[in-house]
Order: sequence, then C-alpha cells, then structure tokens
Amino acid sequence: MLRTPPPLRLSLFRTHPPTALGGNPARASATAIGPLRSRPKRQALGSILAGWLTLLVVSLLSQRAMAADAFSSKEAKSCLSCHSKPGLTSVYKDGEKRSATITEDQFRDSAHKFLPCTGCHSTLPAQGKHASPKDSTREQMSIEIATTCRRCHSNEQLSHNPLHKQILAYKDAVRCADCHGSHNIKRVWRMKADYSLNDYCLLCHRHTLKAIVEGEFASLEVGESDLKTSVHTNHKCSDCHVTRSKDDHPLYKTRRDLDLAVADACAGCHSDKQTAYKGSVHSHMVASGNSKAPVCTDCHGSHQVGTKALFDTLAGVPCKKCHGDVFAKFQDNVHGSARTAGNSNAPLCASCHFAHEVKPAIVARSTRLACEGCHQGVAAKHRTWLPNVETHFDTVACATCHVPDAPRAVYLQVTNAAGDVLPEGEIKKLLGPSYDDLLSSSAEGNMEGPQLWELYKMLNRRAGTGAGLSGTLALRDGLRAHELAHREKASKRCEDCHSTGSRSYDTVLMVVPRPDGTEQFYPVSPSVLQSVFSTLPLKHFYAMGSTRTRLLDWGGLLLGFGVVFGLGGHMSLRVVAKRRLRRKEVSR
Amino acid sequence: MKRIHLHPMAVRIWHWLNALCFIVLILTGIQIRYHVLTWMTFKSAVEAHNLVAFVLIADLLFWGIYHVVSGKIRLYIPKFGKPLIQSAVRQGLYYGYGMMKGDKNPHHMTADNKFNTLQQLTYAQIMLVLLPAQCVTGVLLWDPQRFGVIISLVGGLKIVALGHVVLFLFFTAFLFGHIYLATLGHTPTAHIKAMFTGYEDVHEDDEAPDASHGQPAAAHEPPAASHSHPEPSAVELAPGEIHQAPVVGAAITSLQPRP
Repeated sequence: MLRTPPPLRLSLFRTHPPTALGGNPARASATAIGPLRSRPKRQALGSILAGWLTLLVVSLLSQRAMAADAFSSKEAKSCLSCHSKPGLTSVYKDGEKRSATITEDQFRDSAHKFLPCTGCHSTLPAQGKHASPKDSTREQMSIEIATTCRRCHSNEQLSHNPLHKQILAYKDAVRCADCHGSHNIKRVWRMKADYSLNDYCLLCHRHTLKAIVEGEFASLEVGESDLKTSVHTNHKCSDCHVTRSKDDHPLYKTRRDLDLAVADACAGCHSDKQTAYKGSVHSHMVASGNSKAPVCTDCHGSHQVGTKALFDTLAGVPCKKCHGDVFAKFQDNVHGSARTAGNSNAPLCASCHFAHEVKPAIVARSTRLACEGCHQGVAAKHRTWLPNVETHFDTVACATCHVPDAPRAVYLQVTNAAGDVLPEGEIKKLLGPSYDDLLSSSAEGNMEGPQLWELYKMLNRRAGTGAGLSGTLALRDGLRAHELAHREKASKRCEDCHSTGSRSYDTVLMVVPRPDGTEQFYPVSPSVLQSVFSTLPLKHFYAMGSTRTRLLDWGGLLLGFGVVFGLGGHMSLRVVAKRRLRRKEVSR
Repeated sequence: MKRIHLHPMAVRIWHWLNALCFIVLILTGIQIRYHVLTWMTFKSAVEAHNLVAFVLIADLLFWGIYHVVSGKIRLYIPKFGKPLIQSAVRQGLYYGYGMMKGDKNPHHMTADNKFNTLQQLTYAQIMLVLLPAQCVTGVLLWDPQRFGVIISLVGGLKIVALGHVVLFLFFTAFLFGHIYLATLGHTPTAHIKAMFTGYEDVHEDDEAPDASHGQPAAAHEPPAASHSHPEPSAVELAPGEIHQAPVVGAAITSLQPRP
C-alpha cells in the first residue's frame, strides 16, 4: 500500500504565477473585460492586449527571477558545486552507474525550476555532503523521489488521469521520473509539442512499466530495439493502437482486450491473412471465448514483428510457445531432423498445418491435404509396390504407415449424399432430439451396429439417399503423427491392416466437427466394422481380411457344415442302400 | 455299355482350367480373408488371386463364345413350364431316394442332352448369372478407384465385397457338391474320367428313350465300344462340332415318365 506523504510546504508554490497575481489568468482577464464593454471597441481591444502583454511579461520576469533565485540559492550552489562538474557519475548499490551532472540549461527548462534541490531530494541535506548513493539502488531512489513528488501531486490529483490511476494501483510501478524525467521535467503540453508520436509514447513505454490490470500482471514496456528491427519500424504507434494518440489513451480492461484490438488493426493491412485466420481453429476458439487461443500478436509478437523468414526456422517457429510437446516430437522426426541438418526446404509446422488457416488436427487423419503439397508424385512411387494406391490414399492417412508402431484408430464422419462431412450443427438439425440419443448418449457406452444403422436410416430419410458415414484409418494420437519416420522405416506390411485381429481397428471414433473448430469424439464399438449393420452406413470403408462381416463367416461355417453333413449323409445312405440292394440280389 | 463322345476337347480344356482357377481362387480367397497360411503374405495372395481371376474371366469368355457360336448354349437352357418342374422334381427324387432303391437315372445322357434338368438349372445359373457376377464383383474390388462410379451405383464397396464373399461361399460349397455328384456315375470315377477323355460309358438300354426323340444313338457311338480309349470315328462328334438337333426337346422328352 502506498504511504500518503505529508504535504510539502514550499515557498515557491506560494509564489506560483497565478497565485502571485491573485488568481488564474483566465479569471484575471474576465475581470478586466467586464468594465471595458462600454468603451469603444478599438480602445477595449488595445486594453485587453496590453493587459495580457503585461501579464505575460510580469509572469516571465517573475519566473525568471524566481528561477534565478532557486538556482542561485545557497542550497543550489552547494549542490552544484559538485553536480555541475561534467562527467560526475553516481554508482549505486547494485553497481548501476548514472550521470550525476546537472546543467543549468537542463534545470532552467524544467517545470520544476522553482523548486530547490531538497524539494525533491528531501532526504538529502540542504548543504554539504550527503549519503553515498551506494547505500541504495537506482530503483529505490526513484521510488523515494516518487514519494516526494506526491507530496504536491496527491493521489487524488493523479487519479484524475486514468493512466496514473492505473499505475497507482501497482506500488512498484510508481516511478514518476521514468516518464517525466528528473531534472528536465516538462509540462505535458510541451512534451506533446516537442516529441513525435512514437517518441511521445516511448517517453513512458521505453521504461520498465508495469501494471496490474484486473489482477493480471502486464508489462507495458516497449523495446526500442524491437521497434527498430521490426518490419513495422516505419509505422506510427497509432497505426496499430488505433484508439490512441497524444491526447487520447483509453485503457483496456485486460491485456487480452488490447491484443484483440490490435488484431483488428492488423486486419486493416493484412485482410487476406485475417480471412484465412477466420477459418482457423484458433479463430473459432477465440470466438468461443477461449482466452488462451492465439491472436496475431501471440504468434507474431507485438513490437518485434519480424519477417516471414524469421518464422521459417526451427528457432523462430511460434507454435512451440503453446505446442511445446508437439514441437519436441517434430524436432526429432524426419522433417525436423532434415531442418537441423540444414535442409531449409524441409517442412515446418505451417507447411502442413498452414500458417493462418490452422485447422483442427486432421492432418494426422488426412493425406492429400498436406503431404502431397511437397511430395508430388508420391502416388507413382507407392504404385511400384502398393496396390490400389488411390483407394489407400483416400482412406488411410500417411502417418498411419509412416509412424510405425503408433496406435491406430478408425475415424467415422457423418457425410451427406455428396460425400461432404457434416458439422455438428447440421447433424443436430437433421436428427433433432435423436442426436442426443444416438451420438451424445454413446459417450456413456460405445455405439453399436444397430445404433449406427438407426443413424444411417435417419440421415438417409432427412439428408437424402446416399448420406452415410465416411471412414478413415489414422493414428489414434495426433501427437504421435509428429513422429514421422524416414520412408525406409515406414510400415509396408499389408498384414498390419489386412489380417484377422489387426490392431489397427481396435479403436473406432465418431468425429463431429464443432462450430468452434474443435471436434467432438464419440466412442464407437470396434465390432461395428464387422457388423452387417454397417454394410450400408459404412459403405466405402472395407479392408480385406480385417473388417469382414462376421455374419458371413458364420454363414460360411453353417454352409460348410451343411455340405459336410449333406454330402456325407447322402454318401452314407448310398453305401447302406447299395449293400441292401446287393444283399437282395444275393438272396434272389 | 456303350461309349458316347460327351465332352468336346474345348469343353474339357475349359472345364479343367476353370477347375484349376476355382481351386486357386478359393484357396487364395481364404488366405486373403482369413490369413490361414503364415508363409503366404497377404500381398502375394492378392496378386495370385488377381492373376488367376483374369485367367478365369478369359476362360469364362472362351466358354461363352464357344457355347454361343456352337449353339451348345442350349444344353444349359431347360424348357420352362410344367415339364421343367416335373422333371426337376423327378430328378431330385432320384438323387434323394430313387438311387438308394436302385432306380435308374430318369435322365439319359447324350452329347446333345448331357445335363439333367437340375444340372441345367444349376449350371445355367452358375455360368450365366453367378460366375459373371463373381467376376464383375471381383473386378470392381480389384480397382475400386477406377470403378468408383459403378461401386457407388451398386451401393458401395462393402456391398460389392459382401456379394463377392457370398458367391465365394456358394462356389466353395458348389465345388464340393460338384465333386461329390461327379462320383454318382456308374462307377465313382466314370464322370471324372469322361471329363478327361471326353467319352462316357452309358447303358445300352438307356439309349432307347433318347433315340426315340430323334437322336440316333448310333451316331454317338464309337466304332468299337471298348473300355480302352478309341479314336473318334468320322461319324462321331468331333470336338467343337455343332449339332443341329433339337437338343432341348430331346432333353425334355427324355424325361417323360417311363412306363
């Protein structure tokens, strides 16, 4: 908590120009104008001008005189006997060195030129030697002086300015000199006039500004070097901070609000990128209120926005800030290793997931979407050994074979008659209250064949003939899709998928894309793949040897028994009958 | 006993090639579906299955062309209507009961009428419907991408596979039934031998009904009936020879109830 220091009694305040004139200039002029109204206009105008001129001259002279008084006082002379020497350096407790030289020009230009040295340095003696700065740090001294500032500039006064009010809430942030300077303090209107917009902003933001906004710590520091190396170095601050200017500095409730506002500003120039981003899983997450989902500045940074080339390196990939576990696996995989080995063409995150239109983790479940972008002609290469390449590519994700030994799963998605995957909203619209019965309730227990059939019937009734389910064989864990091995290590054993009891079909999940870009997974019993009920619903998902219809196997077995017993029985009867006939013939 | 030339060379070649294809396809089909043999990979089973399947298709086309061009396709087509049912029932009763009593086969085999009604019905369905269907489903499964439109039209890959497997089960059962029925000649190996040699021994008294329907039995007899394999004479049917006789009529009339 801030300590409210006692008011400082300074003679200078008593001789402040407006006070010296018995009120503020505005009130003085108003008093002067009143009696002149009856006089001729020219005379009145001359009198007003003369009055203002006199006021100005008197004010300047008195200020000059008072400044001269402050600067030529014994106290000032005593201080300046040392501090006017060029090259004087203060060394603080923590070893920080700062210039301790104070020039007259510097001081005369200050808004505080009327103050004696001890007006701010209240803990120091008016004359003679003072304690070494080695006993304190620069930061401690700044806080100490800031406390002194508020003897005149009370918390109440400061709180009128929302910026100061916000800073006041954080004890350690109150360091007046950081923004206003120390011996050359200027009035705000002078600062606005003297500095460009960017420099004006940096007056405060170049320092280690901190604030707590609704309990959230936020650094408000802007690195000057970041700005200089940024691709936006020629921009004005207000190009991105569109609501802010020298005169207006609205505050945001949270850092997130600021980032979202800046993201909108980015779209002003980068509309194409924003359009792409709007379709991304990140954007959907933001829209659904996820405060952790990334916006522009989370990936690109705020003031250090770099070139695209910066992101195109292992070190510069921004994704790893949130997806560290994924990136760790990626670094060791065939692509990451190639990058490490110096192959600049080897893909990075965005090569497969795209930079702005980041989709849900379906790359692990897709083929043509990403891999073929770089691996053109890959179908021809597979054709040398893999039958039905196109069918495999349509149904089996690349990672399924190229991450050997990773657990696999079958992903089912509801499709319309044209084969397009239906999102949750449309499925709910089609199924109505049955949606919960068929899908949501399956979360409690795996969906079985009859439920799948029921779903298929309803879809066909309401979405048109041909609607059903598409199936894809992919990895169960998207994280492991980042363990892509060299092609020599990829699985080429057909039996991995085409054999009785293949582990590839141990997990079956129904995937429903949600509006926020995420996906809902509903467990489905693996037995549906062998169920006769899935013949039509899963009409195109068939893996010889593994997803065979079990009913047919039972039918085959029954037929086998029928053949054995039928033919065996007939043969036995024939043998018996033949013997009887022979006996009859013999007896005849 | 007399010997008649029942199976022309073309038919015999077709039959044994077809049989070989059936066996390989059934075995590789079992391997593909059930992975029984650990020493045979799925891939080699599929490749063998595909290769032999095309041989079978070619063999089927050869059968079709031969039988259509020669007119022997009529051997497979029974006369529909009441006589068909009667003769089918009679033939069924013979197989199920009559032969146990020592009854004579109601069907009298000739080169122009070598199938009884049940055989006609079965073989016609197999050769004209089921085997082509098996070939078509097999070809669709062979390249689902190329035939994607057709597969979608018939209801999807799973339906095609289902049909292929159902037919596979049928043909496997048929193979056993066929081999068993082939042992029902006057000796267990008579029909099988005939399918190698082309000649079948028939009882003399079995020829009368066929002869009474305009098919001179003598025309089909080898010049010197013996148990050795004589060379076909000039009057005998040469392999591939087309008969203009009313085969179907002969077949039906031969099934008239015997006094």
